[in-house]
Amino acid sequence: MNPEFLLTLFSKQQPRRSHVIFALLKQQTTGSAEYWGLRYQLLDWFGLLPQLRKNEYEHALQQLQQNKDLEQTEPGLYLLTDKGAKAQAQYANEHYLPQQNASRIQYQTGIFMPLFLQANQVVSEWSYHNRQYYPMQASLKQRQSIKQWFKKQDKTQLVGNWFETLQAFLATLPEKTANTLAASWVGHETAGLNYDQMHLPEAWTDFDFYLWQLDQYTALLAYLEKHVTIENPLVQLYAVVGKRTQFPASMQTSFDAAKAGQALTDIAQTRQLKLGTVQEHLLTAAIWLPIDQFPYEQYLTDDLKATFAQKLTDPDIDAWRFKTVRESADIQEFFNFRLYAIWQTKREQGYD
Amino acid sequence: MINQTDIQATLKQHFGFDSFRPGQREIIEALLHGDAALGMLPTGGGKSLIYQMMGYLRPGTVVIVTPLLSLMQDQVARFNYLGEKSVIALNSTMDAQEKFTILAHLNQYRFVFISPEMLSQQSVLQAFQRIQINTFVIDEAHTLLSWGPDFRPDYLELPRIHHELGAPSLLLLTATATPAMQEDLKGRFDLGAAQWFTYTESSDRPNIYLHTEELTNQEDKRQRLQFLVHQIPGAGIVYVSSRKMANSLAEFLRHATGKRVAAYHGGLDNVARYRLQQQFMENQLDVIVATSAFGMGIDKDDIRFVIHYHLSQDLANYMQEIGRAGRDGQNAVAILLYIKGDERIQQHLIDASLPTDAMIEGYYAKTLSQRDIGEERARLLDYYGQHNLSVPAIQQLFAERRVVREADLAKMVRYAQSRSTLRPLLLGYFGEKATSDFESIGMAKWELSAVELPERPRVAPSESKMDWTTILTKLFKLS
Repeated sequence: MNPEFLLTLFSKQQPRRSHVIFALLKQQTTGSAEYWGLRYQLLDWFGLLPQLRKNEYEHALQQLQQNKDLEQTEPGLYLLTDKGAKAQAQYANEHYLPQQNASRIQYQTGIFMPLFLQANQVVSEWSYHNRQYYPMQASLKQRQSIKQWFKKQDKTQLVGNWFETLQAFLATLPEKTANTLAASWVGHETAGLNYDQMHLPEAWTDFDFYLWQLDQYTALLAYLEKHVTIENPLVQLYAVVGKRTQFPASMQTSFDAAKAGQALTDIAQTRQLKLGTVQEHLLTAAIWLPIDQFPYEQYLTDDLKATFAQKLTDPDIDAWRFKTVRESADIQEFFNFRLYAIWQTKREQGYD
Repeated sequence: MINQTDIQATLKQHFGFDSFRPGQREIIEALLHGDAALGMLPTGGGKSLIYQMMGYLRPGTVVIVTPLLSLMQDQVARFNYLGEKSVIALNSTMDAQEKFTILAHLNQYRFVFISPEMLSQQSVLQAFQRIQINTFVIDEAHTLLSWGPDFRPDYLELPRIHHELGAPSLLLLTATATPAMQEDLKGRFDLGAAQWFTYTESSDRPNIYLHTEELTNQEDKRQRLQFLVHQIPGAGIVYVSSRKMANSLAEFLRHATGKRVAAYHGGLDNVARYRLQQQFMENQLDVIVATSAFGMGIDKDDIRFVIHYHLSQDLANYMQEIGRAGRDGQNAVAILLYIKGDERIQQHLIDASLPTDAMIEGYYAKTLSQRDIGEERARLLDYYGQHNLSVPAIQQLFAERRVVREADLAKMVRYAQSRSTLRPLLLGYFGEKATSDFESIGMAKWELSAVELPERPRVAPSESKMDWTTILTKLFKLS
């Protein structure tokens, strides 16, 4: 990862928590990280860098601070400096920023990409009836998936179908994009090119190329979904990965029950969960769903909204504190407070 | 009992060869006879064929301990290439589920490559205790001495692990070990009733022309590198000491020489690294600028030159690195470019890997943390801490280690500065004598024609200017 890339995720007006941003990039799901991800409008970056190491991340932050691009306003909270804001703009100018974040999360493109490259090599070598070649490196899991996928394919159709699908997809891309993507592929007597061997913008690094590829493979998956049927070998390969289910099963069950009108305490009792867990499920659902797909009115009554509106007067929602509205030890109070903040955030950010 | 005919037939069947390279047959026979073997064969001398043959000659799993992840993956790829599917690499990149699955079916693999760190784990060791081990191989066995005490403490555990596995048939392989190192290695293992069989092939590579030059400053060295890379035909490797340097020199050489040059180092992702290897193998790339810790797995036999832009850690490593040249038996050249003070880089690396007395004291007294002294040093100290050594004893150990490494570095510098001969210095390090004038010292004495390089090899065109339809057609043999 390029340290300057991180500037993209910070703001000049809104101090942001570094651990939240780390958790989002790593796809670590905690209620709090996701709430703040919503507040920072960074949910789209969820799971962009699952391999990111804490050391590497902290080192990059330190570097940006030493560079006077970032300043710490209080422990763990960072703000872009004027210099940092300029660097952020310059970075956006010279580098590649992902365009298809929301679809990338849904399609799990990051998992599909290496699988595709492997399978593409296998099909290419197969088309030459060559069995003696150096396979690209893959994890055991990937290799087993490809082996099983390959076994199932109708070998008389495989090469033709694979070729035609890729040909049709590449034809939908701008010429230069298609050339670059195809040049990166590895196959029979074709080593493929690395990003610095192609005619890409001077400032690009391997990280830019990685992000660029994620967008292209996301586009490929969108293409497959729209134009190709289940018999297609590429679709069958993608079936190994599959789309991300929106919520984990347990959360979905809580949410469905709540939507059907069950009280949270009843859900907790029937499902033998803590009330706090069920509340967490609902808050997470609210964070991720469009404003009209969550039953806010079931919890945020007019009375409650009026009370909150009276007490939470700071226009900056980040500055709201639970203690301002807390009246008792009832945990329902925190749930209401958080849900109100989510609802207001969605309205403010124009989700409605 | 396996006889000569069986061995010969196996060689032909699996490798297509009619005869062995020096040492291969001798070591295989010794292992079949029940001896432990130490094979010192030059780089490119066919060490891996020995343990592969063992896998075909008798039942059980051949376990190969290998120091580098990249090397391990290259070996697996090479086995696959030869049609061997029953091979796996067990290493830290695997997730828990994968590891569990493999360990549960360990006996189904004919060959298992493994890192020393992984093998030291109790659950892993137990899995290996349950299977029949054909041969326990330690590849690059010299690392047991040169890396162990510095930053791979798990290497020190290998003799104990061998013992806990019931002392199976043992094979140590290396390209670079002085007689003293060989004795040190052998002394560490408990063989029970077995005897040691040692096969030592000369480290000398008579087809490699040696050349050194001492230059006055960085700029001169850069210019000289440019000249040499431009002048010498064929594939080449330039060794440097850092990733940053590899990147900047590759860029410089690309522009200055017009050759196809790429940087090759540990910072590359798997796919990028794979592409470069394949391009290099297929002669679509002329020169690779590499860091020495990386690229131990390259198996290209027509490399015509290796230029060291920085010193190696010691002569053993230098030998290993230049040993990549001329594996096809044709002439090749190894050049070392040196300016006074280059040794400082290596000295820094020694300092960075060995903890100081104050660090040792502070870390055990808990006034210094892992953060203060660095992860590598902390891991080392944790290791020694578990072995109940006193602080002064540990300080003494590292002091001795520093002396050895600095003395080795001094020998490397002496080679770089030599005004008389090169080969005797290099081979002297391995306890061998040499007489050869296939070498020269100094810019004035450099003459490419003296190397008598073979005819210029085939140069394949680059793929950079192809459009996507051409690429697709070529990839899938369609039109």
